[in-house]
Amino acid sequence: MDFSSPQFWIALLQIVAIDIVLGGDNAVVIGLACRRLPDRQRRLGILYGMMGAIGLRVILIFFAVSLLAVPYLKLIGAALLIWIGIKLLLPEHDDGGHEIDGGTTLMSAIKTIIVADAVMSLDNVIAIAGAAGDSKFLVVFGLLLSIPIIMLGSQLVIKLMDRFPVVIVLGGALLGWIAGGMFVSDVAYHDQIEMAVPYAKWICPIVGALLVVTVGKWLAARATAKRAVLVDLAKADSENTPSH
Amino acid sequence: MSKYVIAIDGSVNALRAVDHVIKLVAVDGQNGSLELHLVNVQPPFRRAVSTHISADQIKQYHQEEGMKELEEARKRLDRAGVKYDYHLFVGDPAEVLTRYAKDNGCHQIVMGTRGMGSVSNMLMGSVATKVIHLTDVPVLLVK
Repeated sequence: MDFSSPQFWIALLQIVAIDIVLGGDNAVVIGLACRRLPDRQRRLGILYGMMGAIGLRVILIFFAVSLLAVPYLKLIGAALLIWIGIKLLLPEHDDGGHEIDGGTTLMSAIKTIIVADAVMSLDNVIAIAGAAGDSKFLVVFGLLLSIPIIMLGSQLVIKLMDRFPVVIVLGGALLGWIAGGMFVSDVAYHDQIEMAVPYAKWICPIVGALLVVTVGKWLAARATAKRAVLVDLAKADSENTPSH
Repeated sequence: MSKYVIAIDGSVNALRAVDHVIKLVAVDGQNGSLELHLVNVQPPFRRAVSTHISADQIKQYHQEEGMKELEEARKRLDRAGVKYDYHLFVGDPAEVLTRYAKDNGCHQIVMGTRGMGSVSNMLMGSVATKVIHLTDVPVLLVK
């Protein structure tokens, strides 16, 4: 791929979209984890959290790029990407989140951030590597772009996604599309697939996108249906005893 | 006794709806015949976020944001001496408003609208448009 080919520019746009959709949530987690800390600790926590998120992306991308060249590993990458896409379409947990700890100390905030940074950087990096293909330039571009998005963009990204929920669906579809492309381009069986199924290069991405959107929508609808009663949080102020 | 739901999202549009209801009450003399329920709906986080953050923290965040958005509306009603109740939920605003009105046997949903053109309305899919599609309860739009 080079600057003159349309594929290059399409991949570039895909990477921008991926960074926006996946980087925003990372910043939100860092912000939430640090929210209850004293002012100075909070600012330090956010700064280190963001540096960790960016640093992990840099380290992981080199593993991702070289691992994806190993036969059959693109199969795993594609499966992971499908799951990342589906996850993107799911709403908040039924009970509002997981039950580990209150997270009001610096240590617990750091623990939360390290785990979140690791998981979310891996997601982001697999998607970038998938979209960038063999272009080193695009890999580096994807990495660099994720820095301002994590540092500055979270508020903006969240507003965007709240206002236009369709962005999320498109993001999920895009991840599925990239997964399909990754699946079909594995070195181990690439030629056979192309031979056996004409247009596999196009069919697989389309199937991937449809898979993510249908499964994601279905699971999301099930999650909302399960929320049978409305929980009034304003009432929780006075009636509920503190849960810890 | 009529039960009204007023949708509050912290915007000036919602406050226009509040002002309108205050005027209605003033004409009515007392709000003894009008039961007002302010409803605020917070957008949920995505799964990727709630996987890492504790339920308590997320609940607290929603509560704080919701109370902030309710604050000015409550102030105006307090100042006007109008009685009301307030509620705070997490979910899709239109779906929650509709469900709340139905579950509690409300007679009307009052909402402020942005009053935008049809093109941006189509793109953004306003909450008001969705409520009108979903609910059986009369909807009063205040522009």
